Amino acid sequence: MVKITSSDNQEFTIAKEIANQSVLIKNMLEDVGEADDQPIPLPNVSGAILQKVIEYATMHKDDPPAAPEEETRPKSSEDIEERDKEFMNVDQGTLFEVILAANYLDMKNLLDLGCKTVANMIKGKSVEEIRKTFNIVNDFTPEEEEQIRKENEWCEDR
Amino acid sequence: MSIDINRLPAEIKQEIIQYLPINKRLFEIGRVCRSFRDIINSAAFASSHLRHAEQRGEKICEKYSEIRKKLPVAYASAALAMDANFAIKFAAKMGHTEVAKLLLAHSRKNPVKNDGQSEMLQ
Repeated sequence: MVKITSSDNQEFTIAKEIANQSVLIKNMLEDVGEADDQPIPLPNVSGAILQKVIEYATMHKDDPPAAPEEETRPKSSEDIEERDKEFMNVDQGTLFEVILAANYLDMKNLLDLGCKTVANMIKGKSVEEIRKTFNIVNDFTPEEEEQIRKENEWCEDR
Repeated sequence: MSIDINRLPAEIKQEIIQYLPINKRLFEIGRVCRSFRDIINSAAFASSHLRHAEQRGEKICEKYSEIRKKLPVAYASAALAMDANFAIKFAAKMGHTEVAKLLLAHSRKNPVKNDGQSEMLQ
């Protein structure tokens, strides 16, 4: 078993095969060796998010390892397992925190899942809808907007 | 405190945008805010996006033959200049021989990387 602690000092004890899904933790474990039972501090991840990440890793612990050529080959964002879709059915704040945690912990599959989920939220939306969905402030000056409009003119249907 | 999309580092935003199909709607992404525009306008990103789309088997644009008119400037320039070899192979593979020829002609006039892709078009 492996002990990890979150930024808010919550301690989790997890099986090694679950911990190893994080390349960051895997490398740390290799560095410190088996004997050390000190908890691994993860100062960038809160307990609530770590809980979520562990849930994902537990769900996928029996996944067969991807073949090398499959690993690097990007899949369509439509290509998401049903259980993963359900897993990602969370509020935006949690979604982005899980993405950041996956990035920090170096969990490629979870990072890809997060990015696909966000991409699917963007797909098919207009500029205004995208801004509204993600609470993005339009930071262009009116002059810049006009310039972009002109730049885009040549791609419009004639 | 909850975080939002603006707090994601640029490389993650790029990861996300790479999953979007390469079509006219991509322009919309560039109009959302500066950080999105900077990604879309980067030729390096465009090149990697083209590769990503090809690998996941996406048909790029309904009318690919109008690549120069339909794709964002960066995509056209990435296809034409930065990675002509890839762009030509890509176009040929997708059955757009006209585009491939056009790209080949362009890359001959502006040689950047031109290592024997012409035989593909014979």
